[in-house]
Amino acid sequence: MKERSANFGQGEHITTHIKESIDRIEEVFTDTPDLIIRKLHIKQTGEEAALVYMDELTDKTCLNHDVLAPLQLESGNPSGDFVTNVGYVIPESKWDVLKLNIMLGNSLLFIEGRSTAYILDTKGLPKRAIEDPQQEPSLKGAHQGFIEIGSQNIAMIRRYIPDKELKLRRYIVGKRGQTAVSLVYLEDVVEPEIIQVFEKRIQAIDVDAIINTGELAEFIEDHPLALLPQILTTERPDTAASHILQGRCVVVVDGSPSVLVAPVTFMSFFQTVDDYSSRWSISSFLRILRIFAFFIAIFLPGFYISVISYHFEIIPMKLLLTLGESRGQVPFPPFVEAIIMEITLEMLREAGVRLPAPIGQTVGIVGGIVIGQAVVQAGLISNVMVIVVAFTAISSFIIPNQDMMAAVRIMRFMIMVLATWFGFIGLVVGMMTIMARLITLNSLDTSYSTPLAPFKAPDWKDTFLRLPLWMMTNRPLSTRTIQERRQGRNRGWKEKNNR
Amino acid sequence: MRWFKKFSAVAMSCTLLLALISCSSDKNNLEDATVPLSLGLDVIDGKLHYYLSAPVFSKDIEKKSREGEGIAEGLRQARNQEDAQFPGTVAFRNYQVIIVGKKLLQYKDWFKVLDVTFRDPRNTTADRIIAYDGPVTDVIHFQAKDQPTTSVFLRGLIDSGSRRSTTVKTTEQELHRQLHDRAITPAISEIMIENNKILLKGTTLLSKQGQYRDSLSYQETSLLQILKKESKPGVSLTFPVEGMRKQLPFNTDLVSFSIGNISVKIKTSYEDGRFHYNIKINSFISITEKFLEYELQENSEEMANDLSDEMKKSIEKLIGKFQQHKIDPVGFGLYARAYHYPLYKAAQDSWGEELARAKFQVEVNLRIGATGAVE
Repeated sequence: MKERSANFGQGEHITTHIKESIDRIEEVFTDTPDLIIRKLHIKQTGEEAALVYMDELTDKTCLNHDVLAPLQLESGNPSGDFVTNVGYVIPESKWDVLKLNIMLGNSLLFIEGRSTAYILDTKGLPKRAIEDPQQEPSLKGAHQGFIEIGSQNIAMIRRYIPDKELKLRRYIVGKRGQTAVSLVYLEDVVEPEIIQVFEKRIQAIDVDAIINTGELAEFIEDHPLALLPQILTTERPDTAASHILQGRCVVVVDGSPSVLVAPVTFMSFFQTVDDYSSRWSISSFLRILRIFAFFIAIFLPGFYISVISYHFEIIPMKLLLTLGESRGQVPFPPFVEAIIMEITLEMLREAGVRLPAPIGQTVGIVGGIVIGQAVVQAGLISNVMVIVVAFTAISSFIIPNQDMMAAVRIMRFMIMVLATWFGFIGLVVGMMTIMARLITLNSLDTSYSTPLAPFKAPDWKDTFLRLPLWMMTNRPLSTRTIQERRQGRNRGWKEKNNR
Repeated sequence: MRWFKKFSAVAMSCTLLLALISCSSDKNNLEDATVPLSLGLDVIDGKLHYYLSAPVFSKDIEKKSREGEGIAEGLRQARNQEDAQFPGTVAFRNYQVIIVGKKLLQYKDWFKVLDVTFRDPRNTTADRIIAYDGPVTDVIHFQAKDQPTTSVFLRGLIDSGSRRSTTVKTTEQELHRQLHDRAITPAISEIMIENNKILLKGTTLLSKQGQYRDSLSYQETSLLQILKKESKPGVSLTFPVEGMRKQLPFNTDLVSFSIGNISVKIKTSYEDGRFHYNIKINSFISITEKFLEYELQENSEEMANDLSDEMKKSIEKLIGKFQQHKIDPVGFGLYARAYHYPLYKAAQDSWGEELARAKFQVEVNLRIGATGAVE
């Protein structure tokens, strides 16, 4: 494991006297009642020592049984040095590193007469059990989600890829947060240039703290002003492992239950790892459905507005009569009608997200009745508009990625404004603008819109369709991997001469 | 290359902006517009009258349509007058049917009145053209409690009728083609009002200039559609079988049959200074109704021959009618143009007269494929 400090200078070293060291620590950590300094006599070597740790960050059982007990009770051993039963003991003399390790939950052992202290692995951070991921429920994949402990998250990825080529680069980001950020990738697959770009961007971050992955993403994204997300976040280890195997990098941020995946393409946001475990025909159907839903979610309300306001010649006669009757009783122009409904929907959604689950249900009922019935019965909104909004909402929920879903919602409002002012021409201009923006985007200096433009035919096997796995012999070209081949001929037994 | 990228981005934005600005602010919400679904055209005392019927979008009003009318020199010219009769601006975009009075059909080139519907690309040209023998105002103002608004009703009538080949489905666009293609003459739908009911009457045949020539019954229309190769499977024909008529409340000598897939082959040649047409019709039929005592199983060939003869006679009679009026609703001219272009070209300006001199040889070969579940 390579330890690289992003913003850590050379510090002072400790002295051989415990007294000085303890004074120094007390001086640094003022008003820190949870800092424990325990003086002890090491029976094994007969030396005086002091054990320093943070009360709630360490594993008490480990500290009592594996550090204090052996040091104080056991007598001499052949090596002549002290022995503890913890995972690692690292000698270290730099104050900066020592201070950091106290805050991370390790304990420090200062010994009288030695110019190095010892970092003992006694971390016992508060953590929760591994659960089903909340944001991305799994259909057929593993029911394990990332948790808040970075090292555990890396372990979960390693479970899927126990390969020596799976490399980790660790950076410490944030002056106060000191968050460990780990870049996980397959060294013989990923293009080194991408690693360099990643490293450069992470090392350039100079902030107090990184609390969640989203914050990190904002610092390293290529186009932070664009609506479309260029870095994918996931809560699922199997998704992360699948992306690593496709030749992408994963960033694990300690303390955050989601990881970043980059470089990704636009189409990555419409794929889920479940696609690969379902039968290919079903997955292909779902892919097409998601793309269709993407366009519906952006353009349907705008289309409705333009048809009602400008182009009612395209409405079939029977629909015209229904629409006319439905619109005839509404006091608002179509744009106002659409905005009222869309805003209501967004409010309901946001209320449902932030509220605790039991109250959240109430929001659903109130919203269902208000939107579904009362508004139409009161004659404020036409019932066709209700259908349009409902259809749009469902379509936007089909998109499997939250960030993409949010982007779609904002685009929808822009398209609605364009449609109100300019009708179909506005819709077309809006569509062209989205396309133009899409093809200019990059994700970590890698084209965002491949394989659509630039056109990469081999990648189409896993774009709108998910063709059978045995046909995807190579990794996606969009990730610019240095090792393309990922599998051999898996169905060779079907050929006649092999029988 | 950076400047180029920037330049193209700016150029692109300007183009899009221009596209947006140049689209005129012709916003007109559906509920603020009046969208007439029927247009009626008639001539009274030598003046062109127009009639409109637009749906009323309200649940509280019992009468679901509102009618307007006036004297017009041109449809667009009368726009202010039209607007004055309706709460919203009148948009010519959603016509379903255009009803043309027979009096207007006496005039040459009456079709030019509809110029505005072609000139503005937003206007529909998929509306069905219907002829009516009588004052068009009767149709436009027609109301019955058991019938939706006249526009909706008429459209449904023409669509279902044309599916059964009891009338033709000639849209404005199609009529435009039939009028301007020299090798064919127009045929449009025809309705009538009888016993206070709107009924489908059949087909009206027009001359090259759009003037009224003749009307066809349901069965004649079906035969016309068969000759035009536009009949859909399921055409039902009824012919008498000779010498079996008895005096009963129903005709005992009639046999009805429906036609499945029909093969129509028209061959053309030029001999003795005139065109010769050889029409071969082959089809399997299924007998759908017969009253007379007749062993179908044993004599099915005889029956098929009788029916073929009857059908042949009817088609010959129909073609005779066309020749008499010097019209060509089937489009025999299309075959002449395709196979004998130099000869056709010489005659194209008086194709009706040329067709009237043509010789026709009709062969009908029906075979009975099914006789139904009873003897």
